[in-house]
Amino acid sequence: MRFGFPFFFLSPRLAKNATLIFFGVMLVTAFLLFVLWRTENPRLQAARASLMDAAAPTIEALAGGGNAIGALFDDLESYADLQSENARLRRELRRMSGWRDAAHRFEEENARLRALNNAKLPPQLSFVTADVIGASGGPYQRSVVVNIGRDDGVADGAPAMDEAGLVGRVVGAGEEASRVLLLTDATSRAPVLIGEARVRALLQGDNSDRPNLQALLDPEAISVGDRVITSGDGGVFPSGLLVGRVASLDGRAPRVALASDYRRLLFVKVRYAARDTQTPQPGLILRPSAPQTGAN
Amino acid sequence: MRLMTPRIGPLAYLTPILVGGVAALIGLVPVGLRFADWPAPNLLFVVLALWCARREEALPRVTVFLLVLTYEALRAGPIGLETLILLAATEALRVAAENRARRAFWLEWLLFAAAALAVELCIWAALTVTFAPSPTLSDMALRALAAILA
Repeated sequence: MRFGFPFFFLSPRLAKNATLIFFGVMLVTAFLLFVLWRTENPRLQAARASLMDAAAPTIEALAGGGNAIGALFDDLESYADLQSENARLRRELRRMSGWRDAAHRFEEENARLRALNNAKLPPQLSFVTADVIGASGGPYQRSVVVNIGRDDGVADGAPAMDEAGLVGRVVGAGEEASRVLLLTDATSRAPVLIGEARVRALLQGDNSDRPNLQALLDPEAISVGDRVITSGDGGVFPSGLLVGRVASLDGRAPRVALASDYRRLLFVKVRYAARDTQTPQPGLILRPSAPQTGAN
Repeated sequence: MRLMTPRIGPLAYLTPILVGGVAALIGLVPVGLRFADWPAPNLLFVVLALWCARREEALPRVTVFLLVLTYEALRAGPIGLETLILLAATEALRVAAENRARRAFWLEWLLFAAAALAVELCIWAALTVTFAPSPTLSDMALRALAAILA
């Protein structure tokens, strides 16, 4: 063992002893930190969130370069199929326009019916959009870091979605950055409903791209292609959020193809609940229409 | 008689910190999401092992401790465990480096491969023994292989 920095100003014998003691202190400190992590010490988690807040601007700056590299790969992939991709997107846009009109009609009818029954609305769900600025950095967890935190109204446990469906939930909210646990992580659990029969199950991640379904109450009632949505059980996620579709029924447990594509996850919408509202008038329930974009 | 480390300039101490910092940040950038199916090497360990093998006097143990601990704190997963194991691994590589002049390059590479494999195995074992959520042994082996190839 060489003895040097930071004890090079001592005599060799003293430097040797100081180095050994210092090395022992570092080992013990690392071990104690591991024990604190394993016992889920809240102070350690808070300190970690603070460090994440401090490093978020640097990681975000690097993420811009990383996303550019990723976009380059995407461009190379899609360049080969440019024409067919274009046609597919146009068809999808036309179909989406039709669904938007249908959604407005349903919303109006829903508001009328609720007002007739003097129904109390569930809490209005609002969301704040964030960029994905960091990944989990290792094989231990499937998660991403986003550039919003408690200052933006985000709290631990808040669900995160993208334009396709549910992505995961917030597991560590700092002041300005938060960590979102993906549905594919081995510790992720989400109560879901499957298909028209609304079969209850538990979506469990296993670090693969397709989480499996556990605790299926009626396995015979589901089939490949069935829509999977959150059930709202246990308050883990709000009900009705799209998760994906049943991909396979082979093996020990059925697997779900997630609606969200994690490989191209550039931003997420973190949802949080406002206070409950009554329904004084149907017109107040209707949300303002989204602004028209140039594509429309 | 144990050797005292020769005095070197401050830039020599800063270089492994900067390179190690970049290696750690590369792992945190979300471009890894696109290649989630591929095993990601532990670049920080590769950098630390390189310095231990070639310029171990420029890599004090406190640098290893702070670099790895900061990396663990920023990324998801256990904190303190990899610091503990990498401190031991780099110490073993330092001892091995003292005899470097008498060893062929392929043997040195084999030594690094053994260290990389041992690191991943120890991490997996520690997580399994403490009933913590852990990646599969095959994932950790692939990660070690990626580090060896890197």
